[in-house]
Amino acid sequence: MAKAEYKMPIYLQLRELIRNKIEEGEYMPGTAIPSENKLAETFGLNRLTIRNAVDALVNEGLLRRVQGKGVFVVGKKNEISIEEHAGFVSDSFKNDTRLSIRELQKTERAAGNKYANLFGLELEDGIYYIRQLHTINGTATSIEEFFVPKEVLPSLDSVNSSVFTFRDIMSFYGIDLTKMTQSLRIVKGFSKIRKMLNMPEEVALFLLECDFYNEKGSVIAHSISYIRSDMQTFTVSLHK
Amino acid sequence: MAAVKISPGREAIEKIEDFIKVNRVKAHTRIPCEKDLCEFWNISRSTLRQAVDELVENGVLYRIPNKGVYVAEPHYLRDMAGVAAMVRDLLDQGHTLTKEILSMNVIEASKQISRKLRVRLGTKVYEIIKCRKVDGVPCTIETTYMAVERYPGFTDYYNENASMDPIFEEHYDTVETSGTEQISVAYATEAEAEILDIESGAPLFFASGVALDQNKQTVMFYKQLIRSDKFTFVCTIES
Repeated sequence: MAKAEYKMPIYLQLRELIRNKIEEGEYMPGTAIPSENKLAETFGLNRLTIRNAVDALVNEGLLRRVQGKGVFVVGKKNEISIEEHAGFVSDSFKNDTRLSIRELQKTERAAGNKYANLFGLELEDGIYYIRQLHTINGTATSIEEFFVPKEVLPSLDSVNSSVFTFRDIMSFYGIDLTKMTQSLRIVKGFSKIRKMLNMPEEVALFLLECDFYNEKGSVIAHSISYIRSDMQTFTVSLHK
Repeated sequence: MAAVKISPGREAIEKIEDFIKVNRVKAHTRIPCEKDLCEFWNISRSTLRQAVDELVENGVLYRIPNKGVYVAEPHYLRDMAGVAAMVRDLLDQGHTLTKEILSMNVIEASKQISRKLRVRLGTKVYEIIKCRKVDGVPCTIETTYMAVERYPGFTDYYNENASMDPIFEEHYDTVETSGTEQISVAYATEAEAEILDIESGAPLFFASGVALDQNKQTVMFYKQLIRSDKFTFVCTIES
């Protein structure tokens, strides 16, 4: 590589530059890289060159372009993640290109009684709360809530949860999940959620709750999904 | 990101959930009265009432008019290992399980059944429909299909006091080892509602799947309707 790197085509140099910034952590998984205009200005290059470099990395799967939102860094997924034995897999994840995510809320809050006990925190310790709306083929199908202690995922603040799912984000940051428990119920009520999902009165709502555990057996994240039962089915692999 | 205070309503719900969990409050135990809880947690009556309403709607609590608010019965758990494991777990917990065979016939495989069992259209298959009861309460309607030529005489061995798994093992050298299952919602028809003793139109879990044996041969195709007011599907995934 050392041989006259400056003689490499300029878009290849830029590609390597972006790649390095990702590897060195300057561009963090789940965050957007600077806009094409910004990069063009910074490096004194034209936008076509920028586009070529970015496209190459998009094709490699290192970046993901999201219409109207920007270009995002896709983290390396944890190889031994529990994804392979995914439990209740909602059919929307089988083809996630149809899935679009909108962040409705991202806040920091006090753990409070329930989450202090769940995560082993003090009442006043900070946890992040994220609420997303998942849309498949233009139809709102679920509301997803995610609770994680600040100390577990301090960088969540800057991660764009409008592009990635919680499981993606956790695996980008190498959060070592050793166990996940899921429970799936059919529930009445939740009239506000039903309204947000534009659900007909007679359609049932699935409630899927997950606890994520680390190697010490502590719960490090909790998620609650409210899912329209007429939009989704779940598939489970059974092993005896 | 600025830290935000939890809304009083949200906080009250979480406090009640936590109270039940931490104190291991048993099913059908009355929770302290509104006045005491409001004083204890320093929240308003209306906030507490709304929180209780939501938890009643979600099946965590139930209300008896003029008496109070009680903790609801926990759901039975149905895990990834399927019905056999569910039966074992319920027996371990001291429940009584019985079943009633609603019908046991030989039919010709429809298109769906033939595809699932990987047999030719019109092949003779057993269709066994049963209702399972937990402590005398009807909870599931299970329909099982299997090819007659693979398991000849199955219905001679099977009855209300027998389980399918031991019959497969003993008579056909077959052990169910894997499978896939789809879970969705179905709404009870009038006939189903009557068998399950619920309101017609009530939502039910609809689990259907195929079970494979040690040689990856399809053993059976099944459809199960499971009461959603009694059951929660659970699974644990470990890496």
